[in-house]
Amino acid sequence: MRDVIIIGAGGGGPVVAKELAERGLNVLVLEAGARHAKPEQEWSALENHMNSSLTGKLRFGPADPAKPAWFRELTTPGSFSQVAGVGGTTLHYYGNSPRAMPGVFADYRGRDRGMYDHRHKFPFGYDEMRRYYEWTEATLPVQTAAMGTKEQAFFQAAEAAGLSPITGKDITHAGFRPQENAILQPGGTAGRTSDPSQLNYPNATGCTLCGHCFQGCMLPKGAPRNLKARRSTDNSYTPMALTADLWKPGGKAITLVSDAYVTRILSDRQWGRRMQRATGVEWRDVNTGEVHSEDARVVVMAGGCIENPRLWMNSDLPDPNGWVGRGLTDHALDWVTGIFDHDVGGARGTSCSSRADFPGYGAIQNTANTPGVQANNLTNSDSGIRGTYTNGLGGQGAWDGEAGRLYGTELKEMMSDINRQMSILVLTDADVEYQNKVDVSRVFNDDHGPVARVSIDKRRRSRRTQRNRDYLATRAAEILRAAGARKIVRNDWAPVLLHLQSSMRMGDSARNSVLDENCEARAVQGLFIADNSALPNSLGGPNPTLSTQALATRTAEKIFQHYFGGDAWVGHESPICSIDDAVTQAVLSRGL
Amino acid sequence: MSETKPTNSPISSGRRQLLIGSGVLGAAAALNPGMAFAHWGRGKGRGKGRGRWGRDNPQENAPPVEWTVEQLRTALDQLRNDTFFAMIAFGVPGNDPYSEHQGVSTPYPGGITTRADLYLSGGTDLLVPVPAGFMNQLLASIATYLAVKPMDIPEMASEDVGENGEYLLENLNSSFTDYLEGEVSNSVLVALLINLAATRVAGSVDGPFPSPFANLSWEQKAKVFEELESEHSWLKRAITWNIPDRDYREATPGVLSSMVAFMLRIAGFGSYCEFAVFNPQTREVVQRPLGWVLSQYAPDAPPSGIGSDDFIGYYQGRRSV
Ligand SMILES: Cc1cc2nc3c(=O)[nH]c(=O)nc-3n(C[C@H](O)[C@H](O)[C@H](O)COP(=O)(O)OP(=O)(O)OC[C@H]3O[C@@H](n4cnc5c(N)ncnc54)[C@H](O)[C@@H]3O)c2cc1C
Ligand code: SF4
Repeated sequence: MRDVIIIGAGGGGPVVAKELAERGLNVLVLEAGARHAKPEQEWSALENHMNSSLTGKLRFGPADPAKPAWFRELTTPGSFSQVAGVGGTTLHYYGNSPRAMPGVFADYRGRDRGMYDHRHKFPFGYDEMRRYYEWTEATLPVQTAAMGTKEQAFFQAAEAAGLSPITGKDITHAGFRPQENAILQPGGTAGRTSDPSQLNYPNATGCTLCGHCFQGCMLPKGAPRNLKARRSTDNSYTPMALTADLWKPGGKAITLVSDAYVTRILSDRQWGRRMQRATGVEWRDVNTGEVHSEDARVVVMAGGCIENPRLWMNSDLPDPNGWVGRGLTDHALDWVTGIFDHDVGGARGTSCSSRADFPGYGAIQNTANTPGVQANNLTNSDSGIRGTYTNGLGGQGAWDGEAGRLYGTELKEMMSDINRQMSILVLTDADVEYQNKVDVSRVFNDDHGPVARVSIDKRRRSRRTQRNRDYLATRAAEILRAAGARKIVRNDWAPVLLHLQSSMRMGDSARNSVLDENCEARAVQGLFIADNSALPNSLGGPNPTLSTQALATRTAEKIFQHYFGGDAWVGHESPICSIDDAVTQAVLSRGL
Repeated sequence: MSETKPTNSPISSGRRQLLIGSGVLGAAAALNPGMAFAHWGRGKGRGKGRGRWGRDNPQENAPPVEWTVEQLRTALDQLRNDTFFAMIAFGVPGNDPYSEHQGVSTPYPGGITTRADLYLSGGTDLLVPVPAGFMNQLLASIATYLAVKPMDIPEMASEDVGENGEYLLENLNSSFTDYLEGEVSNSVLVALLINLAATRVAGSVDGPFPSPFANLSWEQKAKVFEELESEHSWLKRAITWNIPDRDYREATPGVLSSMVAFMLRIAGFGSYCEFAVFNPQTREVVQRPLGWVLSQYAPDAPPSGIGSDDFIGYYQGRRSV
């Protein structure tokens, strides 16, 4: 019997794994996707090879490329951007690690408190969360982003638009700033040359500004796995968890099994406060089809916002208040692009290193793109094709013409020089709404049971969500205008499901949350959730992973305290950083 | 002739609209005109009747035509290819015949030169694992709908269908039914739906290509997608009209939306990514992809860069906050 079984090695799972491995518990991590053990031998910098959601290395699907991706049903227009494999969707992520808006926490008393999703707050205070932020930021580590051409252009634009800089980690007012990124700052030759012969580790350390974050970060070349620039969990928490015995006295390395799809959470009926008790899991070897099971004192779900509700339902776990899979938030993303007469570094450097935050509304960020992805982004819309039809939307505003997708010669012209484009991603502070949900399909099944079915109807979002999105698109267009954009286009994206939160939310009320204030399932004892789905809301707009990881750290502490009689450590000990020499030595000696 | 006329199961009006409007008949005819044109042809010359399907050059004593499923498969694959070429030209026009025909072209290459059409069809096939039986139910539903609310296609009038022409259509219909019972790719289904929408938008579609959609102007193509994307599109109504299985019926609009959105986006992605010149052995491009040339991306590639000299410093000199 294991102490703890963790389902999923994405943004959240490896955090609990590393924290509990450090405490010496016996931890098994089961990951449905690929191991991604040798990126330099397996990956490339090419966008279709790596990112195609159907055939790419970083897809939600099995490691074997000959097998199809795992399908999810969408009942409303939209698309998924989710990844299976060790690292999960952080294999795609840009490392942006802002803290949540203080206004989404229980103790917030600011004058703008009415501006937030006040019915769905964190069930504890921001001050408590700050401790976990600090711990997580030190572990990853999170650092202030370096500036390249596109960041400089964005900062100048934001200044020209009258915004002031934010100079701390807490978001205290509207303003712009370099990202706080889970990306190691460039060192040595990194960022100073494009000559590949000079870019090997240790001549180059940290981010080389290669411009391929979306394709997964395997640079600098030759660097030990824990010293790769971007701190996706395959480079940060997972190597630490696999070597905890070597860098921490009393630590115990986790067991990690990839290609292991958990199909059922095992549970016993019980009398008492909770209806059932988790006892273990059953999983299927994706390559051989063999089914295994193992028992554990605690089970942690970390399969992400879409798979957790599916697994819950396919395991026939209880859902007494009907909130399993409900309240999904997605930051109601949108895309605003300016075209310039001069180079604004549109395809250069990290995918995203600058942002502006607007408490009560959300955030916007300047994003670099490779050509296929940018063409994809410009052709996504819920407002039809610009200049022809609008699907009844096609809003007008600070941008030029009606919102909509670019097509034909307009697309081609817009794409004619990728470095003269500045694109801004809108991250909306979106309300938790019961109607936005994940359940299971009635039509589509795969080897692991009925597949997940997602409904997130953009046109039925709350008035506040729509207002916030429009507000942010306007601010984005104003910034582009201030920077001298020749033409500005708003896409009005159909939902792109890449920032997903709150589908198994924690909350202060048993009426509208699946998890209690410790992220333990209200209905199932010994079952915790430690990924984006546990978040109580959309954080006010900031990118979710840092908050998920901080919360997962807190959840690990709660598990250790309540089920293993241990003590809290955050605030009492100093965190060990994932790039610490001791970790590097451990990673090298274990041959990771 | 009537006493020697081969008999077949009669074809409903909705089914007939489906076969003609979605381009199935045209595709079959284009593949092997000798067979299909026994009594059927697309009117030549100019003016009224040009490009319409109907009895054109009646040949007495023409042998009855039997379509095999395999022949039909080949014909429909070609229809799909034709439709997807037209789709790519719609998204990223170039200097190819499809772009020129739609009236929106550029003096230099576009998506078709990158073979984004192949990307599109391969991708559509993988996009949704459509369960067996689903396609059949979906197309049957459209046919039922079209029987109630026919499209305005004049050659649907029965007098336009010659004796052997009718037999051909019936025969095609029965092969089509057999075909649908076997393996049907999503890409063919999508092509049929797009062509059906094209016929609905533009009436009988005249032009050099077997695919009705390919014969449209750029503006008409946009109208087709307006129809396909609309929340209240007739196609959504048609495909859910008569699907007997309730779960399938409820899932259909979502599946259709995903496919339509995929078509629209992938015309862009496929045209600008490295797909056409990727070498899986080296995990590198064999030459600079056209999409990179068009967008002036990575002028020195290949190989793909592993770093750049874009580092300027830190905003206001702050390395940490
Ligand atoms: C292009 C892109 C850019 C992004 N940029 C940022 C950013 O800059 N900052 C930020 O904060 N966020 C960013 N995100 C979002 C970020 O990736 C997610 O917030 C994060 O990965 C979520 O973590 P998670 O653990 O909830 O889910 P995931 O990371 O998706 O991990 C879930 C894991 O569980 C596995 N799994 C699921 N079900 C099972 C099962 N039944 N059995 C076994 N394993 C299972 C999956 O295979 C997967 O590996 C970005 C996302 C994308 C797509
Ligand atoms: S830009 Fe930096 S962080 Fe992004 S993939 Fe390249 S080296 Fe990694």
